[in-house]
Amino acid sequence: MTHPSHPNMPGESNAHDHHEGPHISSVRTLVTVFVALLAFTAITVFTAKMTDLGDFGDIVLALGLASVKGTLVCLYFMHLRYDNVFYSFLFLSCLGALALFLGLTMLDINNRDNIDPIRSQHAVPVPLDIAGRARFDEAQRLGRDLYMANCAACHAVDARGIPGLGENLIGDSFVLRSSDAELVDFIIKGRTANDPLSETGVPMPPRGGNPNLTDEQIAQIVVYVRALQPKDAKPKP
Amino acid sequence: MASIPSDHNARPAAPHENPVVASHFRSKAEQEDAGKMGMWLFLTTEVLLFGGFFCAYAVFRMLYPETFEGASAKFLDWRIGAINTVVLLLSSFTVAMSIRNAQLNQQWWLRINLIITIACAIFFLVTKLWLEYWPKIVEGKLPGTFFTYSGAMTDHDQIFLSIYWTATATHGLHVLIGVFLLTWLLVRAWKLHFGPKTYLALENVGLYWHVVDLIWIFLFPLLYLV
Repeated sequence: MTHPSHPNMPGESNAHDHHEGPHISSVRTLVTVFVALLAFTAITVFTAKMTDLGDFGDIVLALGLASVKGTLVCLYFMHLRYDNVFYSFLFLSCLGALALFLGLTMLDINNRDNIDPIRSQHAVPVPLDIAGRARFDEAQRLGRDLYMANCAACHAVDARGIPGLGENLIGDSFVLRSSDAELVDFIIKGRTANDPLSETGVPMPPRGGNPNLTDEQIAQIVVYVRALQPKDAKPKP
Repeated sequence: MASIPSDHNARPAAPHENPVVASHFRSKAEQEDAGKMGMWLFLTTEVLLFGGFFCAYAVFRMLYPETFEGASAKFLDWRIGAINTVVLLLSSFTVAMSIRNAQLNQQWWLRINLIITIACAIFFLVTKLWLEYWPKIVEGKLPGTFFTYSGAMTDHDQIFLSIYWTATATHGLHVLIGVFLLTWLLVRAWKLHFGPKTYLALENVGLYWHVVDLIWIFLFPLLYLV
């Protein structure tokens, strides 16, 4: 005011925001922010321990409270509210980049299965109830892992077969014609190379060559192989 | 060297009364703007560095929700996390106060606030090493292939621990670096390097320290609570 060279005597800094020179935070502001941060910490702990909004709700609440605390730190402790706006711009740009980074990754993780043949095809009738649907998805997922570990070496990762080793399984008449139980039975027994029914002359070992595969696991593999079939596939006459 | 206008003619000028402006800056204000902008740019890279950990957390939490929901209570004590949160908040407060002290030339308060800040940082590290890291190392609750804990309930417990160790150890390293920076500030404060005209180093280390606090504000609920 009267003497810009000594603008900030102790205790008067906050009252005169329009003085020349850098802004000096008042003790009251800093203490208030500190107490508010402590209070929000207590609220965060309390709500996380006492309330149950479901997994997602709890996370949103905790992150929301953390964001409030973070904003207070940025505005008052880091002085962004009083400082050059360009620093705020820099920091917000960074948060925008972070949001893109997290957001697009989550979109990917959330939707990756949608372009997987498992989810896009509906060759197998899908149980309507949610629990059944969940069991069905689980069986497919387990079946895929089992397929990759036990079958893919001969029948190929995409189940289209490898010449001189395993048959193509996609759109294959035998697969389409047989019932689930018949397919499970077939995989359990396998087929020797000189069997008259053999189409390739290559043996199919019992249980795909892995005696540790349980019948249930083989059924899961069948669920997976079924899901790979094209929607409109019909067995050749 | 220009003489310093002073009311106390007999007293030699303290270093902070005679700020040095590097020759490539037009003015002290420009020098300080450049210095602070550099710090803010660095801080954005820090936020993005930790953003990687938050991203890993989000991805694995989405893939294995049952593991993550129980992991906080199973592996971590929220009370230790809460105490360390309060300690870091206090240190952020004292560092903000120390800038005010420099602006008002309160040299003793400046030193006291810096000492409290350093004490908080060391308390944080000791708590972390002694009460959290050490028992986990003994029990084999370690990341990745070092995981030998026998009480694991799911196959994915070690993923939670891997994220916990990577994120908190990187954060702890930042706290340790902060201790050195703050000690450097304290030494300079003792030599009267900071005053109403000169406190850029104080501000910049303060900004760094607030970001360390800021990251902990988000790590704490994600790892210890929800």
